[in-house]
Amino acid sequence: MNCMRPFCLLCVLVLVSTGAVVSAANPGVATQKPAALPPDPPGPLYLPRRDHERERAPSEEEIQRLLLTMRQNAAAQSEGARQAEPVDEFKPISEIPPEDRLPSAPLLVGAYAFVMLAIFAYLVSLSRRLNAVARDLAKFDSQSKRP
Amino acid sequence: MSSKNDSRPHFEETIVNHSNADITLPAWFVPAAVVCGLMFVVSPVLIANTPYEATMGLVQKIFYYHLPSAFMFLLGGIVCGIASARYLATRNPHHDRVAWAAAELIVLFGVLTLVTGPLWARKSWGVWWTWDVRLTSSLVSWLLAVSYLLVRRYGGPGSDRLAAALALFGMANVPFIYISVNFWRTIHPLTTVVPTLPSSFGVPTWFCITAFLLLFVLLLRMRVRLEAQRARLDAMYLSLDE
Repeated sequence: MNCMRPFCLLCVLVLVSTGAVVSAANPGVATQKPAALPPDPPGPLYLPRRDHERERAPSEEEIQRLLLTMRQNAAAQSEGARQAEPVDEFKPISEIPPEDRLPSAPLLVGAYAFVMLAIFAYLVSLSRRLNAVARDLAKFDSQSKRP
Repeated sequence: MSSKNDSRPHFEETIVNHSNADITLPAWFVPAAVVCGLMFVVSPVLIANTPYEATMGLVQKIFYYHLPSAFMFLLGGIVCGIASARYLATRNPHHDRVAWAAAELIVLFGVLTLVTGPLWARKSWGVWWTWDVRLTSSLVSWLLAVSYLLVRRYGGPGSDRLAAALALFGMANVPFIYISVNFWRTIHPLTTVVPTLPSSFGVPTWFCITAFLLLFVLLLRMRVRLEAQRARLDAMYLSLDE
């Protein structure tokens, strides 16, 4: 058994070194993604060019055209913002004209009055029912006592 | 066989004792009624002296009656459900009477909640009603209580057990109503509002909750008494027929 241990170690060393050499020779194979994984995200849309890659400076006409386009876009954006303004705007109730304000007092008084009236009505209904049953019980008692 | 015969009179005796206990009003009833009346007299003064809420202003004061009504509405659902379950298990009419009384109180406090809520919502949300999960589940629970009363009124023989099953559904809906605002997108305030109230808002809130709780207990006791008296009258007429 003792003579087998160095042999096994040697085999492991050979396998590891072979794998390392193969992966170094074929870097694409080692980093190749399985098909099941999603594709890599696209690279950045704009990469700054190095100085030596620049072909020429923009002309006066191109700059004018670019400025005009930018001005038109800005005008369109401000028009859109102006149209959406009433939707997004929050106005405190104190700034709303009086005819548009919903008064709180009638709602509050209505709520409290309704609660009190409903409880009172239920109490009246319950006491009437209790009295009716008590009356029936008394009537029954008086009838049963009669010879 | 003999054990059955032995146990039967004992069971009936228990029912009669329960019936008599339901008819007799307890000693605490009148003092509790006086305290409850005083609390309802004092509560509007207390509410009027609370500060205005910063964003909603005056209309927020509906909260002090809306929230206790809603709590009693949910409590009624739990009481009705537990009493119905106990009635289905034991067939003791006392539990049936408690369930019936609680169902009536669910309808009463449900109406208070479902009316005061929209009055507040009209001002703060801009609409009377919205099919929000809290509002819709509350309406379903209220309709279940109404259906309980209709089954009891027009269901005929066996309606007590059918109504008890309805009450169990109503009770199952109670936790859903309470926690729904924490799990669904809603415009209704969350359950975290009450525990985090500052004392200037919290004191009148808990005062009103106590007043409504006392009212709930008193009304429940009176309503149970009514059913016990009706049962006694029925028993007397039946004994006369026999």
